[in-house]
Amino acid sequence: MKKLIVTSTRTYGGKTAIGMGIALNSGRKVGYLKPVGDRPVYEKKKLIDLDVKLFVDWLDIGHELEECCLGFEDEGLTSTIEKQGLAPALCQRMEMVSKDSELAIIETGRNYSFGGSFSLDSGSLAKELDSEIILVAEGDPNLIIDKVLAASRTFKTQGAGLAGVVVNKIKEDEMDDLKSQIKPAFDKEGIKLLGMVPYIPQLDVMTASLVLEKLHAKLVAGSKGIDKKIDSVLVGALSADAAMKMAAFQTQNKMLITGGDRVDLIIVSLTAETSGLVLTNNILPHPRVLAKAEQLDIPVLSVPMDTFTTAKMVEHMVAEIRPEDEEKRALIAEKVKNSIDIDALI
Amino acid sequence: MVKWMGSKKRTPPKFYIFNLIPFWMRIDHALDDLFTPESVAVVGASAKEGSIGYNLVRNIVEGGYAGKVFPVNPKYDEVHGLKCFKSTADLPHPADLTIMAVHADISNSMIEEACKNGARTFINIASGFGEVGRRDLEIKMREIVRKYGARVLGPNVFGVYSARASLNATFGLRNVVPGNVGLISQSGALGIALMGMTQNQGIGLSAVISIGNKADISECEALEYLGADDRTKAIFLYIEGTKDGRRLMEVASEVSKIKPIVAIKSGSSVRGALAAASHTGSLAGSDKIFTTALEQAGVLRALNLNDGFNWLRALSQLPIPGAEGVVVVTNGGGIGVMSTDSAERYRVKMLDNRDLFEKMFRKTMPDYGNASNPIDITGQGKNKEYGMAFDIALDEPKIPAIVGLYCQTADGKPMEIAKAAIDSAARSQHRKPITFSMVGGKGIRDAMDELNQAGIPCYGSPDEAMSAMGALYKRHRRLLEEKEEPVVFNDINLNAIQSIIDRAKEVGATNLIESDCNEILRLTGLQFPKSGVAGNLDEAVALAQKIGFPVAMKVLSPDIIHKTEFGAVRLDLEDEHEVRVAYESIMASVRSKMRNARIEGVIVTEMICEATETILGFSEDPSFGPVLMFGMGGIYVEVLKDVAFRVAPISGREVMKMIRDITSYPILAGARGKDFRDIDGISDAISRISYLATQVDDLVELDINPFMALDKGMGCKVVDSRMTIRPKEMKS
Repeated sequence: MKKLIVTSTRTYGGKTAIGMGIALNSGRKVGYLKPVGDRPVYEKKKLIDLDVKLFVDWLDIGHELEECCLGFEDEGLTSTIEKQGLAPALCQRMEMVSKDSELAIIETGRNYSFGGSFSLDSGSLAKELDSEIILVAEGDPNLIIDKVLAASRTFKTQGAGLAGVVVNKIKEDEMDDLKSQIKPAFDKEGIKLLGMVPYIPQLDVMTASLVLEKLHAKLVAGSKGIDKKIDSVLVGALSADAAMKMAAFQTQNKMLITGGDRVDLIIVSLTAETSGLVLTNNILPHPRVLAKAEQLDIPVLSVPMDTFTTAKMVEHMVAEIRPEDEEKRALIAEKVKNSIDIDALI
Repeated sequence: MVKWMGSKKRTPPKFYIFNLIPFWMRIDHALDDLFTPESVAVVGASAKEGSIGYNLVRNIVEGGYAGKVFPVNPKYDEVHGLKCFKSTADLPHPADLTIMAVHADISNSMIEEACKNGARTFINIASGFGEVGRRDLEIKMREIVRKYGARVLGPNVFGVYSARASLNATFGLRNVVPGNVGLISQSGALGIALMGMTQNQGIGLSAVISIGNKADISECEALEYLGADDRTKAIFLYIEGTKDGRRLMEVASEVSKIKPIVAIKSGSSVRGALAAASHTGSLAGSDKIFTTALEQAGVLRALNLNDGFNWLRALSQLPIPGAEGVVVVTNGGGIGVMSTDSAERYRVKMLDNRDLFEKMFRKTMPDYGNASNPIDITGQGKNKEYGMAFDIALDEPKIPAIVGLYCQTADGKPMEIAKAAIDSAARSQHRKPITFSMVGGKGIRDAMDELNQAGIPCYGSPDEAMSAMGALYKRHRRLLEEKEEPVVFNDINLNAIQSIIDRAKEVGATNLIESDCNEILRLTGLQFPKSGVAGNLDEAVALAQKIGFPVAMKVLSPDIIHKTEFGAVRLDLEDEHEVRVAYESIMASVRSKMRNARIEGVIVTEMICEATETILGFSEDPSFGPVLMFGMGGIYVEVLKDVAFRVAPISGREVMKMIRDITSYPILAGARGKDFRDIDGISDAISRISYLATQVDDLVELDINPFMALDKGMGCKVVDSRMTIRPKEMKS
């Protein structure tokens, strides 16, 4: 059975999409393990990782969600490791989730060093589980080479095998240019470039529905527009007049975060260009304002936090691939298939 | 000007002798000069027909006033046949009462001039003061009268009427019928209309006071006066708002012990900004608080003028029933059933003694009549049968009150029936209350008038007759109520509570943090679910086992106020595994949202399952002070707003009334086979909060939600609470 550890040079590099793309195109029965979870969801008194849920759902993996993750980076995981010992705990879980599988995808959290304090970083995992690493690199083109080389040297020191690197989220027009820079540098170090996957904008779409869930907000109007795309987020601390003069305020698909008492700003933002309003401090405007938002299908979310805290939370929000996003599944499969020689890999 | 008992003008009401009136009401009131002046000056008197100055003089003169009348106006030598004076300085002596019927702009200077000339009691008719934004003129007027030790009614009033002095010092209606109802109206135009309505309804008036903008004399003093006035048997109060709700409650409470007050409250007063943040604040609309306060003070609050006057007719003419229970005598089954429905609505007990009634009333009806209450003497019932039925009911000691109903019939003679009822009532010397209703067309009008004139209030529908009986029974219960003082809790350490608040104030807080709220409520004597703090996972598990499953868990972090929004609350954890997962999930969730949050551990709390969620708290009303709220919690408070209010402090009896006032009371009382919740526990908690609200001035608002009511004997537990305190600079 082929075992592949999918990790990345940085958080939100696209590990899940690449791992999923490989699994979907492998034509084999796939097992999945995420030793240290980093996307916790508490559902029906169970703590699960959202990526685990995605793999179990899309690949029809017949395991309980809790089985595919050892734990999260806290006392729970420490206590599991302390009780059983790291190697037995990890191997036992690997065996459990990969039983009858021909390919096992092992996904790390965040980046390749994540889990290091539990000796569950990518290099340690690869050694313990006798598997190869796929490193997903993304971000500033100038830094990709540096980061990959650093990671590769770490793996080498640890005695872990690197199957190759997938460079992800590349804009189509930069593809050739980037390849001509990266390939020679990788070749020189003996690192295999597995493929270059283009940026898929549809995977990055943020919606009011995501904000609603992440902020534990209350939806007070405009439920029909809850899945509208959000391209930009504005924090409304300025006057309505000043806001209307801003170019950003006139853009399509914007979301505004402002205090519920800023009626002037709320009213001028109630146009078709707005994809959502987040009203802070638990203050709601007059019902007529909400009725107008309802009429225009602009979702209005109410949160108890102040505007600054809310804005910070939204800033750190990243669009996720969720089990219910079926349209993203085909997209991921297609883009990965066109970019990586999967047969050669597995 | 306060005069003591024994003033030459006042005939002391006879109940003074029995010492029923509190001390403060036994002073000879400054309003004496309003109602029993020996001389009246009308400044702005006019010879121009239709003008206010003309109508005032005309009404005073034609109303039969026996005192001296001094019209004052430099333009005239004579008004309405009386010598007109150029100014108040020219009067032979200062008038006891000076009525100002001049423009707002000059009224203040003329009041000052009259004060200099010895006048001390004024009515300022003029409008154009606070009601149009000229509060400054009102303030100035008050300063002037205070400077001279004078008093003023108004501005923006239509005057006063006094049956005792035959003084109609209003510019409203002529030919006011003297009687025993005192009328206080905040609205001028409506007040005049109300006087007209009393004429139509055959209600005689003892006094009318238009209180207008209340720059000096308020409805409280007017109530005090009418409360002490022996001519006034019942008081009708039309009010839109009050500046001092607490004082109004105190006065109304005292007066309503002596005589009935019927009030119509409309409009709403300005709400302070303090009472908005919590459920308690947002649900306690000022109108609701006003209504509650009036009812607490024993005032009968009518929702419309029709009810108000219907009740007044009964209250001013009939004796109060001696016990609960009425008998309905009717000639129609339909109206009988309608009256039974109404009886339930107005909390009038229908007597149910089939055997006794069969024995007593069978002879008043044919075989097919119904001798159980309502006593249906059938359409065959004529004056003889009605008279017989009334006599039986009036003579029977077990029947305290009677409602007579008559349905117009083809060959019926309503006048004869009315006379039969009148004769029976007279024979019984009007010892028991009878209300009547005649249903039909033109043919019954004269009979209704006959009954009304004979002191048997007759209404156009059975519902009205029963509603009036309901008012008599409210009065009956009020009179039976013995004064009960609010409970004083010596076990509550008020100093300790104050020091917690002082600490919070020092750092400029207006909302208390959770631990302070909990400590204050603990000191107040309220109970909390078992809980503790765990610093790590193993401690959390051990704590949960100690508390007993199921438990709830939430993060303890100074950086996370909105715990739910941070995914930091887990409920209903039933075993060790669930506690472990919940702990891990809280930590993971908090770290994913605020990586550098300071986490001190988790709070593990007993999960209250078998209990009813209620809400308890208070908020500060700008006019009435602390107002308590109790109701059903959860969706009930959000959607159904099933809550009851009381102005604090309240006695134990009032607490129980408050609990029973909520629509969902049967849920607490054990509906559908469920056990009783701990009503005594709720009652104790409300009393304690009432004490806290009135003793700790710095507490502005408290919201305990949910407040879990456990089974009988198990108490109630505070699950969550919020408190707002008065900031330093706002201390009242």
